[in-house]
Amino acid sequence: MRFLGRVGVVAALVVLGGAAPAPGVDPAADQKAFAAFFKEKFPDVKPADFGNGPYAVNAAMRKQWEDIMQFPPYDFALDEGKTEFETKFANGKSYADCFANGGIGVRQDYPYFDTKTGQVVTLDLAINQCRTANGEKPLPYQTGKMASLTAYMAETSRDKPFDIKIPDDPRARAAFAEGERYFYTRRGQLNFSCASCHVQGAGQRLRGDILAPALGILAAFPIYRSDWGSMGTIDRRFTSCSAQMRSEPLPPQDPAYRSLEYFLSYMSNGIPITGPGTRP
Amino acid sequence: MKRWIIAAALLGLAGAAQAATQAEAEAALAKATQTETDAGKTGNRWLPAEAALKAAKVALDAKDWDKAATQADQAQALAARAIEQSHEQETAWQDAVIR
Amino acid sequence: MASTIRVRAQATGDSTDVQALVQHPMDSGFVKDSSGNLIPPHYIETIKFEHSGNVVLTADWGPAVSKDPYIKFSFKGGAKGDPLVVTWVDNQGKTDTLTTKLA
Repeated sequence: MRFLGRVGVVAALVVLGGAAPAPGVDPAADQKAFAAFFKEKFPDVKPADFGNGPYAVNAAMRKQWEDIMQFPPYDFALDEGKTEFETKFANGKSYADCFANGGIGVRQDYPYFDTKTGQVVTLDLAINQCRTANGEKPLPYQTGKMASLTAYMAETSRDKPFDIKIPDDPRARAAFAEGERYFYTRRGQLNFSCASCHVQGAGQRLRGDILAPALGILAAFPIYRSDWGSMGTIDRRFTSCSAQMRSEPLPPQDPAYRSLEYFLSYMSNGIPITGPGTRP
Repeated sequence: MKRWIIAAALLGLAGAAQAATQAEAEAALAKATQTETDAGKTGNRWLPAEAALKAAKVALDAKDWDKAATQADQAQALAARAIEQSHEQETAWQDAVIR
Repeated sequence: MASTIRVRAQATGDSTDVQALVQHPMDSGFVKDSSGNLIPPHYIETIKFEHSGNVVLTADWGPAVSKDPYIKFSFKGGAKGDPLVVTWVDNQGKTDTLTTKLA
């Protein structure tokens, strides 16, 4: 059996009539297998710690991180975010009016699938939907005020486990499947998929960095990345990752990116929010 | 003696292949542009293909036919490989899924 | 306006541990913006820590120090409740200062 490899095993199973379900058909099964894979690959990591990415799988990096966290570099963005969150719009309303529980402690529910509009709604998108609904100009994505706001909202959800839902709606399952497909598809001149680094390469070095496992990888967002010298949202990381694979990045909040975020977040259900975070 | 003739002939051929005409450069650019557009349709534009295409256009505007043709051919090759990659990945991605 | 200085000073035994995070762009003057124009140099030149009127640390920073610098050091002495004054001055003549008490 060993020499057949994984494709051979699947083929054999298909022949025997015990075929594994097609990807995306059973999200819960995919999620279980995903979590189990990483727990087996990193047996010494406490499940909740996966939200700390490279620091969960490398002791030296963890020590540096603990030092930095005595004065988190995202502190300034957090203050800015809190001020922005509490500032009323011109029409007298505020962000609290757009979110459940006044927007406090809700980050772990995003993204969600909006059955009314048939879209995946991320926190960033929801913030701009709130602004436009109240006569304000939308914020540019990726950094700046959007990152500060999401940092504040994430902080109010710190330690709450991801709780992403896939409603019983074929469009929601399709969005999940699209995200799963994006994650595993190779792209760009370097012919990498997200999985190449964050599944196969998880815990290994990529130049001077340690690659984070895909499990819990979005839990720490938005992040202060030393490489950027500033805050960045999930969009900022997705677009820069695409560019690093020498694939032309999609625009922020592109449906494919939102589906990818949906997939990754659902896969991380149960992992506590560790955001805002700091990364090398 | 024979070796000299062969070498000279080869050099001559190489020389002839290098000099592109304006028409050839424009045709190469048109082909590369179309292929890159097709790559875009599969959602897979490669950054180096875009860069080579841009360089080809700049060279064409500067009337550097050789450079334009070379860059356009480069862009064409990269865009074609991107399309191949998209087709391969249509099914290949499933084998990578953690089950 | 909120202070640009955050400081934590802990008196333990016969010494005091100090950590500070300073919000400052620390522009070297060598970096260009997206339009290709040089961003003018704007960096902290000196930062000073005074404990009960005595200077315990002076640092000469400059363009080589990164944005939002963090500093950590210890000095002999210090007791809970003692005042600690942090002051920085940058190359554009701007300054900020913060007074805190040792914990």
